[in-house]
Amino acid sequence: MQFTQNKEGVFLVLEVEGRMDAATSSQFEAHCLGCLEAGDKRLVVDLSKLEYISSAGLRSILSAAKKLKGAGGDMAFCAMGGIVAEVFAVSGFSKLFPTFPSRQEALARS
Amino acid sequence: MSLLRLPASEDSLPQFRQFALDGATCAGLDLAAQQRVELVLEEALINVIRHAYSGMGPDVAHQIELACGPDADGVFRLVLTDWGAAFDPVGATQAAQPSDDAPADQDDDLLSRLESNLEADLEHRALGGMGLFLIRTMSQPAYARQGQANVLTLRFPPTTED
Repeated sequence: MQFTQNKEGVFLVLEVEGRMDAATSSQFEAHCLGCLEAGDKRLVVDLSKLEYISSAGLRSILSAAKKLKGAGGDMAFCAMGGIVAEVFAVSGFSKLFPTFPSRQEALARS
Repeated sequence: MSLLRLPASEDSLPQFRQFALDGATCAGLDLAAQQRVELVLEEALINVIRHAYSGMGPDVAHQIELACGPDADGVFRLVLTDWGAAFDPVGATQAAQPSDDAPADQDDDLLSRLESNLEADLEHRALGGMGLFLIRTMSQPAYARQGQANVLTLRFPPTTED
Protein backbone atom coordinates (compact mmCIF):
# COMPACT_ATOMS: atom_id res chain seq x y z
CA MET A 1 0.00 0.00 0.00
CA GLN A 2 1.30 3.45 -0.90
CA PHE A 3 0.24 6.81 0.46
CA THR A 4 0.41 10.24 -1.14
CA GLN A 5 -0.79 13.19 0.88
CA ASN A 6 -1.22 16.90 0.51
CA LYS A 7 -2.88 19.64 2.48
CA GLU A 8 -5.98 21.28 1.00
CA GLY A 9 -7.25 24.02 3.31
CA VAL A 10 -8.42 22.41 6.55
CA PHE A 11 -8.26 18.92 5.06
CA LEU A 12 -5.45 16.49 4.53
CA VAL A 13 -6.03 14.59 1.29
CA LEU A 14 -4.67 11.08 1.56
CA GLU A 15 -4.46 9.05 -1.63
CA VAL A 16 -4.19 5.31 -1.07
CA GLU A 17 -2.78 3.07 -3.79
CA GLY A 18 -2.67 -0.72 -3.96
CA ARG A 19 -4.51 -3.32 -1.90
CA MET A 20 -6.05 -3.25 1.58
CA ASP A 21 -6.08 -6.93 2.49
CA ALA A 22 -5.28 -9.10 5.48
CA ALA A 23 -1.55 -8.63 4.90
CA THR A 24 -1.47 -4.86 4.33
CA SER A 25 -4.47 -3.23 5.94
CA SER A 26 -2.86 -2.35 9.28
CA GLN A 27 -0.66 0.14 7.39
CA PHE A 28 -3.70 2.30 6.75
CA GLU A 29 -4.58 2.76 10.40
CA ALA A 30 -0.93 3.31 11.29
CA HIS A 31 -0.64 5.98 8.60
CA CYS A 32 -3.80 7.77 9.76
CA LEU A 33 -2.57 7.77 13.34
CA GLY A 34 0.66 9.29 12.09
CA CYS A 35 -1.37 12.06 10.43
CA LEU A 36 -3.27 12.58 13.67
CA GLU A 37 -0.05 12.88 15.65
CA ALA A 38 1.19 15.41 13.12
CA GLY A 39 -1.93 17.49 13.81
CA ASP A 40 -4.06 16.51 10.80
CA LYS A 41 -7.39 15.23 12.02
CA ARG A 42 -9.70 16.00 9.10
CA LEU A 43 -8.90 13.47 6.39
CA VAL A 44 -10.25 13.12 2.86
CA VAL A 45 -9.22 9.67 1.67
CA ASP A 46 -9.00 9.34 -2.11
CA LEU A 47 -9.54 5.70 -3.05
CA SER A 48 -9.37 6.06 -6.85
CA LYS A 49 -6.15 4.00 -6.95
CA LEU A 50 -7.19 1.41 -4.40
CA GLU A 51 -7.62 -1.86 -6.30
CA TYR A 52 -9.01 -4.11 -3.60
CA ILE A 53 -10.38 -4.07 -0.08
CA SER A 54 -11.44 -6.89 2.24
CA SER A 55 -12.95 -6.90 5.74
CA ALA A 56 -9.44 -6.42 7.12
CA GLY A 57 -9.32 -3.10 5.28
CA LEU A 58 -12.75 -2.11 6.55
CA ARG A 59 -11.62 -2.88 10.09
CA SER A 60 -8.52 -0.75 9.70
CA ILE A 61 -10.59 2.16 8.34
CA LEU A 62 -13.18 1.86 11.10
CA SER A 63 -10.57 1.71 13.82
CA ALA A 64 -8.73 4.74 12.44
CA ALA A 65 -11.97 6.70 12.00
CA LYS A 66 -13.04 6.02 15.58
CA LYS A 67 -9.71 7.40 16.83
CA LEU A 68 -9.94 10.47 14.59
CA LYS A 69 -13.46 11.14 15.83
CA GLY A 70 -12.32 10.73 19.42
CA ALA A 71 -9.77 13.46 18.76
CA GLY A 72 -12.42 15.76 17.26
CA GLY A 73 -11.59 14.96 13.65
CA ASP A 74 -13.34 13.15 10.84
CA MET A 75 -12.78 11.04 7.75
CA ALA A 76 -14.45 11.24 4.35
CA PHE A 77 -13.89 9.15 1.24
CA CYS A 78 -13.95 9.89 -2.44
CA ALA A 79 -13.48 8.51 -5.94
CA MET A 80 -13.86 4.81 -5.21
CA GLY A 81 -14.70 2.38 -7.97
CA GLY A 82 -15.09 -1.33 -8.76
CA ILE A 83 -14.94 -3.81 -5.92
CA VAL A 84 -14.04 -1.05 -3.44
CA ALA A 85 -17.30 0.80 -4.15
CA GLU A 86 -19.20 -2.47 -3.97
CA VAL A 87 -17.71 -3.40 -0.58
CA PHE A 88 -18.40 0.11 0.77
CA ALA A 89 -22.02 -0.17 -0.36
CA VAL A 90 -22.84 -3.63 1.00
CA SER A 91 -21.00 -3.10 4.29
CA GLY A 92 -22.90 0.13 4.96
CA PHE A 93 -19.63 2.13 4.97
CA SER A 94 -21.00 4.50 2.36
CA LYS A 95 -23.71 5.44 4.89
CA LEU A 96 -21.36 5.42 7.87
CA PHE A 97 -18.96 7.89 6.25
CA PRO A 98 -19.36 10.90 4.02
CA THR A 99 -18.50 9.62 0.53
CA PHE A 100 -18.16 11.67 -2.63
CA PRO A 101 -17.78 10.83 -6.30
CA SER A 102 -14.79 13.15 -6.68
CA ARG A 103 -12.07 14.79 -4.62
CA GLN A 104 -13.39 18.24 -5.56
CA GLU A 105 -16.80 17.43 -4.09
CA ALA A 106 -15.23 16.06 -0.93
CA LEU A 107 -13.24 19.27 -0.46
CA ALA A 108 -16.23 21.49 -1.20
CA ARG A 109 -18.02 20.43 1.98
CA SER A 110 -17.54 22.55 5.08
CA MET B 1 -12.14 -29.34 -10.48
CA SER B 2 -8.53 -28.62 -9.64
CA LEU B 3 -7.21 -28.94 -6.11
CA LEU B 4 -4.64 -27.17 -3.96
CA ARG B 5 -3.77 -28.18 -0.41
CA LEU B 6 -1.55 -25.93 1.70
CA PRO B 7 -0.74 -25.26 5.37
CA ALA B 8 -3.37 -23.21 7.25
CA SER B 9 -1.11 -20.18 7.40
CA GLU B 10 -1.35 -16.60 6.16
CA ASP B 11 1.76 -17.34 4.09
CA SER B 12 -0.48 -19.56 1.94
CA LEU B 13 -2.85 -16.71 1.02
CA PRO B 14 -1.07 -15.56 -2.16
CA GLN B 15 -0.92 -19.10 -3.61
CA PHE B 16 -4.58 -19.79 -2.84
CA ARG B 17 -5.50 -16.42 -4.33
CA GLN B 18 -3.63 -17.05 -7.57
CA PHE B 19 -5.08 -20.56 -7.83
CA ALA B 20 -8.66 -19.28 -7.46
CA LEU B 21 -8.11 -16.37 -9.85
CA ASP B 22 -6.65 -18.70 -12.48
CA GLY B 23 -9.71 -20.92 -12.09
CA ALA B 24 -12.07 -17.96 -12.32
CA THR B 25 -10.32 -16.70 -15.45
CA CYS B 26 -10.51 -20.15 -17.05
CA ALA B 27 -14.23 -20.27 -16.23
CA GLY B 28 -14.70 -16.98 -18.08
CA LEU B 29 -15.76 -14.82 -15.11
CA ASP B 30 -15.63 -11.09 -15.74
CA LEU B 31 -13.40 -8.78 -13.71
CA ALA B 32 -16.12 -7.81 -11.23
CA ALA B 33 -16.92 -11.47 -10.53
CA GLN B 34 -13.22 -12.32 -10.23
CA GLN B 35 -12.84 -9.63 -7.60
CA ARG B 36 -15.77 -11.07 -5.65
CA VAL B 37 -14.13 -14.50 -5.82
CA GLU B 38 -10.89 -13.03 -4.52
CA LEU B 39 -12.65 -11.22 -1.68
CA VAL B 40 -14.84 -14.10 -0.53
CA LEU B 41 -11.86 -16.46 -0.67
CA GLU B 42 -9.76 -14.17 1.52
CA GLU B 43 -12.54 -13.86 4.08
CA ALA B 44 -13.15 -17.61 4.21
CA LEU B 45 -9.45 -18.47 4.40
CA ILE B 46 -8.72 -15.93 7.12
CA ASN B 47 -11.51 -17.41 9.26
CA VAL B 48 -10.04 -20.88 8.96
CA ILE B 49 -6.42 -19.80 9.35
CA ARG B 50 -7.03 -17.71 12.47
CA HIS B 51 -9.63 -19.86 14.22
CA ALA B 52 -10.16 -23.41 12.98
CA TYR B 53 -7.07 -25.04 14.39
CA SER B 54 -6.50 -23.01 17.54
CA GLY B 55 -5.81 -25.35 20.43
CA MET B 56 -5.46 -28.42 18.23
CA GLY B 57 -2.41 -30.61 18.51
CA PRO B 58 -0.13 -32.05 15.83
CA ASP B 59 -2.33 -35.13 15.39
CA VAL B 60 -4.53 -33.01 13.12
CA ALA B 61 -3.11 -31.79 9.81
CA HIS B 62 -3.26 -28.00 10.00
CA GLN B 63 -4.11 -27.69 6.35
CA ILE B 64 -6.66 -26.21 4.01
CA GLU B 65 -7.74 -27.70 0.73
CA LEU B 66 -9.17 -25.49 -1.99
CA ALA B 67 -10.95 -26.80 -5.05
CA CYS B 68 -12.35 -24.60 -7.77
CA GLY B 69 -14.18 -24.90 -11.04
CA PRO B 70 -17.68 -24.99 -12.45
CA ASP B 71 -20.29 -27.19 -10.75
CA ALA B 72 -22.83 -29.44 -12.52
CA ASP B 73 -24.91 -26.37 -13.42
CA GLY B 74 -21.89 -24.60 -14.88
CA VAL B 75 -21.70 -22.14 -11.96
CA PHE B 76 -18.17 -21.31 -10.79
CA ARG B 77 -17.52 -22.31 -7.22
CA LEU B 78 -14.83 -22.63 -4.58
CA VAL B 79 -14.85 -25.54 -2.14
CA LEU B 80 -12.82 -25.02 1.03
CA THR B 81 -12.11 -27.96 3.31
CA ASP B 82 -10.42 -27.88 6.71
CA TRP B 83 -10.13 -30.42 9.51
CA GLY B 84 -10.44 -28.01 12.42
CA ALA B 85 -13.17 -27.25 14.94
CA ALA B 86 -16.71 -27.33 13.56
CA PHE B 87 -17.83 -23.87 12.54
CA ASP B 88 -20.70 -22.94 10.24
CA PRO B 89 -20.02 -19.50 8.75
CA VAL B 90 -23.28 -19.60 6.81
CA GLY B 91 -25.78 -20.21 9.61
CA ALA B 92 -23.44 -18.79 12.26
CA THR B 93 -25.91 -19.71 14.98
CA GLN B 94 -23.16 -20.39 17.45
CA ALA B 95 -21.32 -17.70 19.33
CA ALA B 96 -18.78 -15.68 17.42
CA GLN B 97 -15.40 -17.29 17.45
CA PRO B 98 -12.92 -16.04 19.99
CA SER B 99 -10.81 -13.53 18.19
CA ASP B 100 -8.09 -11.08 19.04
CA ASP B 101 -9.73 -8.48 16.85
CA ALA B 102 -13.29 -8.89 18.04
CA PRO B 103 -14.55 -7.28 21.22
CA ALA B 104 -15.40 -9.69 24.04
CA ASP B 105 -19.09 -8.75 24.07
CA GLN B 106 -19.70 -10.36 20.68
CA ASP B 107 -21.46 -13.45 21.93
CA ASP B 108 -24.99 -12.66 20.80
CA ASP B 109 -26.50 -14.36 17.81
CA LEU B 110 -24.04 -13.52 15.08
CA LEU B 111 -26.56 -12.94 12.32
CA SER B 112 -28.69 -10.43 14.12
CA ARG B 113 -25.60 -8.75 15.51
CA LEU B 114 -24.14 -8.40 12.02
CA GLU B 115 -27.28 -6.90 10.66
CA SER B 116 -27.87 -4.42 13.45
CA ASN B 117 -24.21 -3.49 13.21
CA LEU B 118 -24.79 -2.29 9.65
CA GLU B 119 -27.11 0.38 10.98
CA ALA B 120 -24.89 1.44 13.86
CA ASP B 121 -23.17 4.81 13.85
CA LEU B 122 -19.43 5.27 13.96
CA GLU B 123 -19.14 5.17 17.73
CA HIS B 124 -21.23 2.04 18.15
CA ARG B 125 -20.20 0.09 15.11
CA ALA B 126 -18.30 -3.07 16.07
CA LEU B 127 -15.03 -3.91 14.36
CA GLY B 128 -15.61 -7.64 13.88
CA GLY B 129 -17.96 -9.81 11.86
CA MET B 130 -17.60 -8.08 8.51
CA GLY B 131 -15.86 -11.01 6.85
CA LEU B 132 -18.78 -13.39 7.37
CA PHE B 133 -21.15 -10.72 6.17
CA LEU B 134 -19.17 -10.20 2.95
CA ILE B 135 -19.08 -13.96 2.32
CA ARG B 136 -22.86 -14.08 2.54
CA THR B 137 -23.37 -10.96 0.45
CA MET B 138 -20.94 -11.67 -2.37
CA SER B 139 -21.45 -15.41 -2.86
CA GLN B 140 -23.95 -18.20 -2.30
CA PRO B 141 -22.35 -20.12 0.55
CA ALA B 142 -23.27 -23.59 1.80
CA TYR B 143 -21.69 -25.35 4.76
CA ALA B 144 -21.48 -29.02 5.67
CA ARG B 145 -19.69 -30.88 8.45
CA GLN B 146 -18.47 -34.05 6.79
CA GLY B 147 -16.89 -36.43 9.31
CA GLN B 148 -14.05 -34.46 10.85
CA ALA B 149 -14.03 -31.84 8.11
CA ASN B 150 -15.65 -28.45 7.54
CA VAL B 151 -16.64 -28.13 3.89
CA LEU B 152 -17.63 -24.68 2.69
CA THR B 153 -18.95 -24.33 -0.85
CA LEU B 154 -19.03 -20.81 -2.27
CA ARG B 155 -20.93 -20.37 -5.53
CA PHE B 156 -20.69 -17.39 -7.84
CA PRO B 157 -23.70 -17.42 -10.15
CA PRO B 158 -23.79 -14.77 -12.87
CA THR B 159 -25.37 -11.59 -11.49
CA THR B 160 -28.14 -9.85 -13.35
CA GLU B 161 -29.03 -7.05 -10.95
CA ASP B 162 -26.08 -4.93 -11.98
